[in-house]
Amino acid sequence: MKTHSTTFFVNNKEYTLDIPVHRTLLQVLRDDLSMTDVKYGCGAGECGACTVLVDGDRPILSCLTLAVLMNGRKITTVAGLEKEGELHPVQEAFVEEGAIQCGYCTPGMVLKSVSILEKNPSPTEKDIRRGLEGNICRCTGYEKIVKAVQRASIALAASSPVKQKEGGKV
Amino acid sequence: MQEELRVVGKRVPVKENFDKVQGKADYCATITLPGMLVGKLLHSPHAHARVVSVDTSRAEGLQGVKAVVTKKDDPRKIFTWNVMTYQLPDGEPQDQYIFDDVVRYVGEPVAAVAAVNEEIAKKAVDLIEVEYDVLPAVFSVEDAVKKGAPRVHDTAENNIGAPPTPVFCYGDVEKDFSESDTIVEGVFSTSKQSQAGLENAGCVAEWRNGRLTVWSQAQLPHMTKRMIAQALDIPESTVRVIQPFAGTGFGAGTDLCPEPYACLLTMKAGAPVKVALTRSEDLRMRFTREHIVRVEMKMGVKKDGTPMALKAKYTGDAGAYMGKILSGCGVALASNITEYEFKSMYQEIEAIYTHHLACGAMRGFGGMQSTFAREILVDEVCEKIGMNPIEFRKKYHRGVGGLGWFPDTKISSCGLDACLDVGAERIGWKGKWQGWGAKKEGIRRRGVGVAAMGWLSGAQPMLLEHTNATLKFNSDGTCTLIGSPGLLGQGVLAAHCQIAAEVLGIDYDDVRPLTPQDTDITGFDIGTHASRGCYCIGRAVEKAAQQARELFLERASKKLGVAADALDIKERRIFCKDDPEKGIEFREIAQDTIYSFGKDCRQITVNATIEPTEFAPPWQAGFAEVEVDTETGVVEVIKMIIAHDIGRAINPTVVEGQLEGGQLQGIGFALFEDIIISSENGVNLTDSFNKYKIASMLDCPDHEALLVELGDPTGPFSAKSCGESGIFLQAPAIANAIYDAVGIRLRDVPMTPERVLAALKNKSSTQTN
Repeated sequence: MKTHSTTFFVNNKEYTLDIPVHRTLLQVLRDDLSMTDVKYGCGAGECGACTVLVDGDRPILSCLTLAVLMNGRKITTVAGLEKEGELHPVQEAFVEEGAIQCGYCTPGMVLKSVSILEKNPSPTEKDIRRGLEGNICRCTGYEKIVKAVQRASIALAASSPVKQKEGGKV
Repeated sequence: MQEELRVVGKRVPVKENFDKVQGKADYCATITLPGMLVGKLLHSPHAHARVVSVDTSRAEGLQGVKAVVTKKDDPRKIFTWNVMTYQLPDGEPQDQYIFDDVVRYVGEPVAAVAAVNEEIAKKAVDLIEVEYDVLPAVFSVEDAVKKGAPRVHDTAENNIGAPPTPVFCYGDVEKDFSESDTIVEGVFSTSKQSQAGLENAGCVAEWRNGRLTVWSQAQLPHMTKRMIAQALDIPESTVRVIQPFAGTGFGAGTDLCPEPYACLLTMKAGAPVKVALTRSEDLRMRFTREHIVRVEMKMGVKKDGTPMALKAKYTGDAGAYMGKILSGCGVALASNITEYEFKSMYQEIEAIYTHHLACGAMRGFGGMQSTFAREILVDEVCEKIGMNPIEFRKKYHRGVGGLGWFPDTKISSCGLDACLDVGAERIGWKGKWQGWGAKKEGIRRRGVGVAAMGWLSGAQPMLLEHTNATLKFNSDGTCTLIGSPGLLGQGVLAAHCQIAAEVLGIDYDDVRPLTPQDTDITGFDIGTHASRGCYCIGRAVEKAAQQARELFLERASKKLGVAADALDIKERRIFCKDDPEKGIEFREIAQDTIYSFGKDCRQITVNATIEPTEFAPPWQAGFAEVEVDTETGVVEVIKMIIAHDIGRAINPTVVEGQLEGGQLQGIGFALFEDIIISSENGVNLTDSFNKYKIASMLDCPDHEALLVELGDPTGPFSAKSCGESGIFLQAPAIANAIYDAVGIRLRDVPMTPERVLAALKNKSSTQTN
């Protein structure tokens, strides 16, 4: 079996592994590194549950990504979002708005939301819906997820240092 | 509803969501045990075949394979995946073996392997050689009952699982039809929806020192335990079921799925085994929604709309096993009784075996199908007698004291009028509904439709709904809530904690629910089905909290030298009602119960048992506005409003979440969700999310769930259920809106563009002729 020595970061921790070339990033994260916060939903890129971020803000489907392609990359999973014990504002908004039911799509949904807000801090409702289209949730009917992303957008703007300098107004 | 509430009615966050949002919650999919093996199943490629031989020698010879199980390992005890069977005194039919001599649907397991990793397990499955004697199969109820049709089960002549059987009939329908001024009737068909939770079916089983522990997505844990013991022919006490969080539900956990195979594997391998299905396996193997494939319904009314007679027949396509098809048809029938004041009703159910995947239960169990048929016929009746469809529903629905679902039950509360009012206003009914026969022009035409129904809060007294809830108090004044509704994400534990905290006068944070849930710890509980979690378990929690409150007051009474009934508890403090300054902290009493050093140490642990008898129907009105493209047949839902009489929302955020989630599943049922099984070879053609479509964010119309809180005298803090209510009214309201838009009556769900176009074509050709 052909393997590649691959070095990458997951949640700021460096890993160097000999990875069989056919192995997906999802398999390596879940099965080899026991990072079960990354979820398997379909294995075919049809549900978004396995979403992780690459190099900060680029969402990818880890079930469709060969792990060896991650050489030199920085991967963020949902477990890597909290800082100093504090939830990320997107995570906080998901809890506050009740945007979580079974919670199985939540890691992917949260990460995708983070990436949307990184690129566009004040998305319209349409932007949010378009951005999250590839992430399926069977439980919530999506309304509360949209509200959570809107709430996080406001919270992030309020806490942004630039805005604070301008008097804290959003 | 006068008293001031501190915790109940508040939008407090669901406690387990902090774990979920960080990816830290345990699911069957995440659980890893030391030495755990990976289990994989070998599925039949044939819809009907005799299993002549299974040669496992090559698989067993593969390095890393720890166990292979086949029918030789099956103790051959007849059972059913449907664990709900224990809720009926006489049970439901049991017709399954873990591995049988015959396979009856494509995807049925024939063998299973446990190996040290997934790759080896897959390889081993491929090395198993099965010799099949392929037999002819039947793929529709119509073919199945034909003379000489292949038999699914030797014991079922003409594949009749249950012959037409009348249930809960009353009055004389033939006489009342003869006295009716207007009669409408129709034959309807509905789809085979999949629960399709994001976590596929999965479980972990561990056999160790004569005990079998199963981590399961079970919704009915104690009966799951009993059924596993029955199938394996071991004493029930040797089985323990643990419910971690489940990434699915909606009825999926009311049936077994991979559990029997994982159990056989761990018992043979002597190591823990996880069987986690792929998405394709989940869609091919997990029992689907009760497939009531045909509803025949006839309705008669007087000129002024007075309901006279209703006659209906529900035909279930059981698939390969009886599963829950009979109870599904039964609920279709029973739920139909409660809605309108018909003078007489005659309804019957029947179930036919086919070589399809069998049926379990999905949210809206049975009520989906009868409501779809009934609410369309009500619309037709209204047009014929020239009545506003909202007015008919208001005038003729049953009310308080009216006939319940089951004999000898009565309606305890009804807020349907308010639901119809607020829903009509929100959708803008007055401006949008232009009366019967309003002329619409253009390629894309809009219309509005309405539907209504009453559901239940637990299936008592027909089904056993016995519940226990325990509160165990700690020395710091907090308590653990021990129950087992299952952790499907329904948020009911938040409601339970709110109920307990409100009764006890302590904070929401002070009540911690037991997770994961474990049948070795929890008292008997049915679990979660039939929208019972808030109402039935909530009542047990309320009762336990009331008993605990009394014990706290008694103890405080001794400390304070004041009679217990002169005391009250608020904000974690026990105080004299007449002299609020005089009091003691709740936690001081809690501390005293545990660390009192020879002065009556007695930890307060209270268990309350409830066996409810009332069924407390929640009522709902649904309003759809649609735009139909007459060239493509595409139906776009512009707006969907559902208004719900839920008694009281213990936690409005949770209630809205349940209803909004149900709403989107209801739209899926109405417009696009359907498991399609080839009528040529029985292959499931919809075994991926690419083919089995569930709504994405862009498929989601402008939709809203409105709450009507008028209270129910029997519910905990006057709450009724909200778990299933959200899903019922999309299909009938959309169908009625389509009629308003383009004048076609659709009788089949999903209402796909093909069906819409065919109906439009049929209409125009009828008009031309």
